[in-house]
Amino acid sequence: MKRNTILIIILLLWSLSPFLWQVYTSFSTTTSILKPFSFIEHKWTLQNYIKVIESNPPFWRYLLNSAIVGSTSTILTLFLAIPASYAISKSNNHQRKITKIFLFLTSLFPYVLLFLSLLEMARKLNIGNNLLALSIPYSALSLPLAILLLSSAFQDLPNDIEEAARIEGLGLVQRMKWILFPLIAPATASTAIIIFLFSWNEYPIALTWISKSEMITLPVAIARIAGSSVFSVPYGAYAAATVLGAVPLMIIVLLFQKQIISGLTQGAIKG
Amino acid sequence: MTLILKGISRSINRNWIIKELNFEVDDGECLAILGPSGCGKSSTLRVIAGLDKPDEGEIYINNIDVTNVSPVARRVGMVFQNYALYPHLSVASNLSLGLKVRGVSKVEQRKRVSSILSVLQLDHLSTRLPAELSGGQRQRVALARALLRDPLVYLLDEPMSNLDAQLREELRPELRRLILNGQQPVLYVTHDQQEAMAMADRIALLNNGFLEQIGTPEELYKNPRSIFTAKFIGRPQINFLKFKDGLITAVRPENIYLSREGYQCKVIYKEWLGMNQLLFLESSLGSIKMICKSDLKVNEKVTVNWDTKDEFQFDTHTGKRLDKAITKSKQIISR
Amino acid sequence: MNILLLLPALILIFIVFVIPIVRYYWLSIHASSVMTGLIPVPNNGSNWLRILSDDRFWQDLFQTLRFTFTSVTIEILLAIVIALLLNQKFQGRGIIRAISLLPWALPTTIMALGWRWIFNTPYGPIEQIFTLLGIGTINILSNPHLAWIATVIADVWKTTPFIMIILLAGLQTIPSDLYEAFKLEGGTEIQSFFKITFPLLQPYLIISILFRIAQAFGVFDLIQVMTGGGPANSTESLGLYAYINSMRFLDFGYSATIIFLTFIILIGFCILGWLLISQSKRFLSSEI
Repeated sequence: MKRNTILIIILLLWSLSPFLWQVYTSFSTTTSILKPFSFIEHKWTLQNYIKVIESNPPFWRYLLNSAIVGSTSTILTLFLAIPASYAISKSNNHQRKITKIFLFLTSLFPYVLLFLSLLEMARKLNIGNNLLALSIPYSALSLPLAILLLSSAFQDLPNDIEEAARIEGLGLVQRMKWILFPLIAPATASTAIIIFLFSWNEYPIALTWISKSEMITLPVAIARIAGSSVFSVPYGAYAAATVLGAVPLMIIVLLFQKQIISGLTQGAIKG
Repeated sequence: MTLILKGISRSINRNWIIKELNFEVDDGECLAILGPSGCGKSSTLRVIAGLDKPDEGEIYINNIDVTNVSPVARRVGMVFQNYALYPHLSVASNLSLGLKVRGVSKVEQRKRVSSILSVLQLDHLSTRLPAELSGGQRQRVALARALLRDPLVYLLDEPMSNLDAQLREELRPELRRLILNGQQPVLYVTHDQQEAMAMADRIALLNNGFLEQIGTPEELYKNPRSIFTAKFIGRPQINFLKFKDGLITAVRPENIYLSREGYQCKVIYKEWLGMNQLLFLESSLGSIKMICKSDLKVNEKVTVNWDTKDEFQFDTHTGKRLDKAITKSKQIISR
Repeated sequence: MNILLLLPALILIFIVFVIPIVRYYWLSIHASSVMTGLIPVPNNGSNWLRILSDDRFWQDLFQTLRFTFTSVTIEILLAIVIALLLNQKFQGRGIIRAISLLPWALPTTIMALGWRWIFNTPYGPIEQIFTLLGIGTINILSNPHLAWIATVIADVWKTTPFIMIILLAGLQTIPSDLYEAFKLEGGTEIQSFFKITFPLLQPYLIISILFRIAQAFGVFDLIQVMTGGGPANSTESLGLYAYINSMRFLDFGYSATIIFLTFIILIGFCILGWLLISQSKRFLSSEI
């Protein structure tokens, strides 16, 4: 038991300390940042946060942009994935197997390699610099996993429940509304959170599609900060930015840990 | 109200699941569909409900051809083996959902649901979720849903198989009171021959998708037309004794008695059943089971016999009944 | 009717996953750069000739492979240990699982920036500790031989939780009575890991290894933010090189060639990995 406690403490330190170090730096004055281990003369400050919040465009703008892209992508993905998953769960074994293998392979694909062609498409269709348009590639990239998760949720529903509803006179739309949606709600929630996290965090496509600084998403904003600061020492403001960028996600993970874990594990077991 | 099946067949991947089923169920009659698992019982029910399409044949409900009619329009009340209650809805909502989509007014919905709940003594459970009910209670909710459908035909798919033996016995009278005593034809699928004999007016015994024999429980017991029927109906299972090539003689354990003349046997072991005991005997004819009241000991030597009128004779190759009793049973059916 | 429900999703997937690959091949046999005004002009495979003798490409391939195999190996081993640890019953298990999942959920760019600060010379905590211990600075991010190790550490930190959760799911599918039965037969804890846990965990290990190899092969965000590919291109991955070629040098034709070749090599490695896994499976099952 003792050994496990020590291991768990090491695990927690390993998981949290890089982030805690950012928090520590973000509250330190520039002189204290240069001597991080001189605890006696350490001076605390909120100045770094004020700098980040007052920057132009203000930092919350990036959070808002990411939240918008995250939500629209999630909605669009679910809108496409739920009917598709239902169809797959109702198709015969052979078709289902082939579709699932195809989806599994696409979900393995390192999507970074797609950026060039997607950029060309965005230019041709003139949808660069448009937050809502960004949800189209995000949905496409999330669809394979979303369909895998939701189709196994549909498959797990006992057939006879839907049949009982059919005999009672419920049409497809009514069955969806009264029976199927409520029953796959937990799987839908898990899927939605995983799509949201992906869209919130996505970098290469957002980087190439969006150039207007008031439209960039959080990861791109952070990378720009990084790019502009390669050799600059006053890191305090950057640390404050990373903390502000990380906190909303940490809240999401802690609130929805059950859904996230069940979503990932369902993906592994059934995928 | 009658249900008629004419030459119904269904195949999956070129395998026949059911083949040329013909039978009628009259007003208020209960027909049990009996057979081992995989014999096509549930498929038959699903075809009648309209959940699956037959490859051949026609189905008539009230003399109307419903073969190509949707499940809803057939107006069947079905009780599923696992009850198929909507797990996210309360008992009351489970019952009212169907009424709602069929356009029954809110007031009427409430009235009908509460009256059916009181008939089934479920009033106090109306706000519970299915997961919070016992097996017997779930089964009654499923019955209530079928009753509310006001169906033309009742289809019961192994309605008791998920209940323990004691509950089953308690629920039988209730099932009789609510469903079997009505005007509608009832189809009762089960794999349990005792349940079929207890509940049904007639039994249709299926074997590998074919109708093996159909008749009253008594007919099937007293005049089995094949080895399969003889084996399937009656517990403990019938004895098969081989006297000569091409012919099998079968005698039910309850018809064998101790006698001064007959066949020499040794008791191998015994099962005490309370009312009597089941003896497993070894003889020159092979092993014999018999039901016996007197207390015999293991390894004891006994002599047993039976009356010729209690013998059935079957053809080894076709499995069909050979002795003349078969004509008698035909006469019974035609009468 | 089924097809109609499925079609919108399949079309979108097709547009985003399949068309680009065809397009890359097509672009790779064209010149499409500032010189041509970004209008593709057939160039008789000169992109392909160029890539064969492009030292930077082969150097980046080597770096990408080195990064992939080191980080995936460490991640798998670490994830097994953590999953075994978190599969035990103790108080607060849920919250500890959630905390250990945090690194995976944070945007890569954010923590890449954070790790860059941690490895900063001389103000980052690592250099500070080394200085306090009297070892002196090691300049890890500006050392072409060491910088890639820093990126591996950051990647291990970020993606181990993902594998850990999948393996944890795998562990939970193993019925505990198997361990009890094995114990009654006299098996030790270590034997039960190798004879029960490991074989039954195999499908989950295979899925996570495949998934991680593919993702690590496409590493981009982490490298771009943490080192920018430097020092001396020593940490540059193939994804980053393709990005630089298209966005900085505006040579779309060559960038597409790099991506297409990367894709082919990745498929090759996946097939190789698959063969190795199925071979080792046969070997393992004959062993047991």
